[in-house]
Amino acid sequence: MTIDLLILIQMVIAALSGSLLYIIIGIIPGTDETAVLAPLSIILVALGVAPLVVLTFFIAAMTTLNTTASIPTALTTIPGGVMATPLIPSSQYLKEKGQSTNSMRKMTIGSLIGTLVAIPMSLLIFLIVYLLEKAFGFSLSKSISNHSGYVYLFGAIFLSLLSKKKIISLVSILPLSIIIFYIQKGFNVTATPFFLSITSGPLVASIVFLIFPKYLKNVEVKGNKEIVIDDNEEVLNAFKIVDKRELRTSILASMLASLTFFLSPVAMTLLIGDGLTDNVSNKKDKAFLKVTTMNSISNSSYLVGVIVSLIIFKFPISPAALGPGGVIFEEGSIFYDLSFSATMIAVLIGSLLAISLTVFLSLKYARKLTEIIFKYVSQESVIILLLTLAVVLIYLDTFTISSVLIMLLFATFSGILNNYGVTFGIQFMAFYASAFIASILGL
Amino acid sequence: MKKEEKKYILLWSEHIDLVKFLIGLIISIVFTLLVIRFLIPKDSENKLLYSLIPILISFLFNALWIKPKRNIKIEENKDDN
Repeated sequence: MTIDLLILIQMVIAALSGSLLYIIIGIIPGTDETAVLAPLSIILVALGVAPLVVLTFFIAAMTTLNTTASIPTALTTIPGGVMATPLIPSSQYLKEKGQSTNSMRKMTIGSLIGTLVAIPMSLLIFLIVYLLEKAFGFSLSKSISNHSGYVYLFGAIFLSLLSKKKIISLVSILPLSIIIFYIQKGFNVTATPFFLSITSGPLVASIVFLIFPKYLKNVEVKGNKEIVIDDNEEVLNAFKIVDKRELRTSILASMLASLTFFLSPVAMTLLIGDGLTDNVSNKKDKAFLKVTTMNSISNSSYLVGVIVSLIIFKFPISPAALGPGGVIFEEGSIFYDLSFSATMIAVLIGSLLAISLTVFLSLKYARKLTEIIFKYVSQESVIILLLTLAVVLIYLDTFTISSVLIMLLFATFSGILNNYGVTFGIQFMAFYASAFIASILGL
Repeated sequence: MKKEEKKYILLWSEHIDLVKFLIGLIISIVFTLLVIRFLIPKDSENKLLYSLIPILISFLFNALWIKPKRNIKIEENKDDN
């Protein structure tokens, strides 16, 4: 596929609009990355937007979301998203020390480092796989697609064994796949409703649970939430924000996170982030180093996971590709037909424009932006918007209310499994493996 | 301080008003589905694009009548150094 000027302009617009939109979504507290990234890329694909433009939008949105989710974490110690939760102890300590402005700046530069390291690292992994394929004379992507059923099943087992709740994860693979198989057969739904149900599952389950008085009592709170936002003055020289050690450690952490792209980004943020920073004795230095490094890891692991899945494996091999990018990585997706250079151009435009815009706006307006969003955008309206989008996309898939209701039930089930520790990655693998498992069982 | 005693629900680490949330959710979903069912031509190719209009209208409506439950205080940054 060649890229003409018109597509190029659309890609730039997609990168900028994706970035601006997800700066706001990122700052909204608590929003789950998978749940907020999936619907918009599904909409763009369904609208028939050119694949390169969708890819640019998705990369820009992902890069921005991972960067801005740290802003409320630093300024208010409320995590902006799931990926920001490992940052809480350090950012809380820094806030108590009156360092939240510096902490936010270092997090932002950490994200910048992670993004910049991710691109050459993806190319390095590409080169290694290419050389291995050349030396041993086999095609990795072809062998994966020829045995995709086995790959998904073993992927689900592998991720279960790596997760915290190994037994329940392993045990849930079979029933989950069988339920998915029968829903697909009985209600004629495509993959999209499943992506939406699995990604919004935990949210749907926590809403459905409210019908139980005991659960309702547990989540009851009184009065408004008190939020203190630290004031900060603007800084424009991004290069003076991190010191040499923070720069070195973040680069090393991003490289390690790039190599473990097939593992959970949150788990890697904790593992690599803690592993590389625990030797620092000064508490404040350590906290600064941690927030910088952890942000670099979340940006690099997400980005590498998506790039590598697209250019090498032609298969969603990383949790970032399996969940948030679900619609891009469907089997036989047109995104796999994009050439190497076209994919890389989309990645470069999406990630570099997004990170430049986000870093600039974060360093200059983080406090003001947070204040406006916290003041005017209610959590209710955002959750309602997400749920309505999901319901409409499911309805448009089959045009029957029964399919919406069955997917609501499935989302609740998936959310309950998630609460018990069956991660998104395992559930998506089980979804992909469902047809294969059904054929083994003779269903 | 009657207002401060109001009971809310903790959802996605934020305080939400359950009744307003449920009313907003039902209005938003029913309104959008009704528009899709009766106003958008059945064989329209841009069904999804048209569906986004009622979704956005409901979002703006909800954002206007459901206010955030946050008390925001801006504090001067007191650096320890």
